[in-house]
Amino acid sequence: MSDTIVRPTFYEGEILPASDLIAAVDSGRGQMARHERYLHSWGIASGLELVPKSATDAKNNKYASVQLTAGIAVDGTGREIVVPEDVALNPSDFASMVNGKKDIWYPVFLSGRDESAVASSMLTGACSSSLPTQIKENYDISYGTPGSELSLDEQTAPGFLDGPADGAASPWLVLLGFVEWNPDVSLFFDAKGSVPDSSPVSPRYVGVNAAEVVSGSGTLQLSTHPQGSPDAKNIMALEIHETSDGEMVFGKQNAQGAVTPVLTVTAKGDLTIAGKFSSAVKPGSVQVQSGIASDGIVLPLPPGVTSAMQADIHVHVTPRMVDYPQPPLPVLVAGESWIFIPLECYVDPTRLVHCRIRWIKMPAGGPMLEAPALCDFTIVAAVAASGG
Amino acid sequence: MSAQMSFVFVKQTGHVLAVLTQAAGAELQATDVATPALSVRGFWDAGTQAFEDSIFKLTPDLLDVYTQDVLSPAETSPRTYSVDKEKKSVMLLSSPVKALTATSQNVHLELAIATGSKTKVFVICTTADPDNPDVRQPEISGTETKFDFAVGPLPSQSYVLALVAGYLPILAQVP
Repeated sequence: MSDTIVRPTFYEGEILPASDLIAAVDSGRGQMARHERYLHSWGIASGLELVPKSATDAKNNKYASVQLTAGIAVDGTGREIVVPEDVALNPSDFASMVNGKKDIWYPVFLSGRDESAVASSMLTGACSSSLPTQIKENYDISYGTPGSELSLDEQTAPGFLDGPADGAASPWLVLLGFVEWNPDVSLFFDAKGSVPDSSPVSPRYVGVNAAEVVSGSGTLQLSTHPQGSPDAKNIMALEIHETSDGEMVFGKQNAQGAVTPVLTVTAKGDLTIAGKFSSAVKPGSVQVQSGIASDGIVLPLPPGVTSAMQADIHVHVTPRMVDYPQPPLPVLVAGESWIFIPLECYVDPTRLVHCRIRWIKMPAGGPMLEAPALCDFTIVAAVAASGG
Repeated sequence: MSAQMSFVFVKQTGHVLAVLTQAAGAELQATDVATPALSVRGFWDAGTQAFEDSIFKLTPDLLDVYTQDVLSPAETSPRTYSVDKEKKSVMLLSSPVKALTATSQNVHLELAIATGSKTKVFVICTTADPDNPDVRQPEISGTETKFDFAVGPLPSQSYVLALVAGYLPILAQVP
C-alpha cells in the first residue's frame, strides 16, 4: 500500500492498461469518501423511513407490510448508499437472520455492497475472455437482535488514505429503525423509526464537521428538520440574519420556513423573550416558593436553587382541609356519615411530604380508614453568600 | 402570576400519582419531585378494597411531569387522571380493570373486553426491601382479555399495583 495519495497521469502514445483507468476512477471516489468521512458525519441524508401498513389475514391475525422509502445514506467509510425507489422489507429475509418473537423490537440496518455487473458479451479481452465492465453500487437490508444497534458507533473507520469500503467483508451498518415480528404468521407486525422504551438508539442523520459556517445570503438558519417535513411536530430553528439591523432569533419554524421568534437578541444586545425568565440565584438572597402538594411528593426547591448550593432550607406545611372523596367502603346506611381529621402533616429531611387524613365513620365506633391528603407548603431557601 | 398544576405521572402508562400546585416558575422535572423516590400509599380511592399500609416507591426514571393550568378536581383525586401520550392534556379515567390477582411469582390481569390495540401496562410490587420494588413494564395485545406476568418471587402479603393505560388503577395483595 502506498504511503501517500497517488493519482494516475497519462502521456501521449501510452498503452493504457485497465488498472490505470480503474485508478483514475478510484482517485475521485477516494477523495469524495474522505470528504464524506472527515467533513461530515455518517448517517441518513434523505428519506429511508420505515412505513408500516397494518392488515389482517383471513384468520384475523394482524400483520404489517413494511416499506422502506427511497433515499440516500452515507456510511462511516464515506460510501454513498442509494435506495433508488421504495422497497418492501422481505419477511423471509428477517426469518433467515433472526429468531423473531412477539412484542420485541428488532433493529433494521442498511449497508452498501459492490456487486459486479454481468460480463459484457460484446467486448472481448486479449484472450477472447470477457469480464464485467461495471460495478453496481448495491445495498442490503439486514436485521439484528435487540441490542445489536447499540454498538454501531464502534464500527471501525478506514485510514486516512483509504477510499470507501466495498461492503464485502464487514459492511458498515446504518440503522433504519425497528420492526416487530408476528411469529404466528411469520410476517412483520409493526415498524417504527425509534422505540425509546426499548432502545436508546435511533437512526442517525448526516452532520457537518466545520469550524466555520458562512452564509452568503445574509441569513443563516439551524433547524431540527427540513422545512415542511411531515414527521416533525415542532420544527425549532435558530436564525441569525442581517435584517432589522442584525438579530438572532429562536423559535418554531412556520410553514414558509421563517422563524416565529420567542427569543430575539439584537445587534445592540437588547434581549426580548416571549416566555418566563429564570435567572441564577444571587448569593446571600432568600428564595421562597409556596403551593399545594400531595402526600408522597418531594417538595421542589424554589426556582434557581439546587441541592448543590449551600442553602438553608426551611419548610412549613399545614394540612389542607378540602372536600376529599369519601371512602368507597363500607357503604353507608341511613344515619351514618364520614368525617375526617388530619392524622399527620410533616416534611422529612429529604423534603418528602407525609400528609394523611383519617376517615371516621359516624356514629363513632365504626371503622377508621387512612388516606393520603394535601398540604399547603411554603419552602424558604436562604442561599449562602459567596465566600462563606 | 397564575398558579400551575404539575401532574406527576407514570411514564409508561400516563397514570397520575400525585399533583403539585404552585405559582408559575421553572418547569418541573421528575427528579425535582421524586428524588430519591415518589412515595405512593393509601391506594384505596379507585378499587373496591382498602389498602392502607401499601407504599410503592417510584424512582424518577419511571416518572414524568406535565404542567398545565389548575384542574381543581384533580387536586383531591389525582389518581383518577391520566396524561395523554403527547403530554398535552389530562383525562379522567373511568374504565375499571375487571380483576387483578397476584401470587408469589405471577400477576394475573383481566379486562372486561379487549383493548383493540397494544396497550402499555405498569406493574409495581412491594418486596422485602421497601426501596427496591419489583417493577414490570409489559405491553398487552389488543385481542386478548386475560394476561399473566411473571414477577418476584414476592413475599407473602406483598402489594401489587397494576396500571393499564386508559384504565383506573387496581391493587391486589399476595396471599
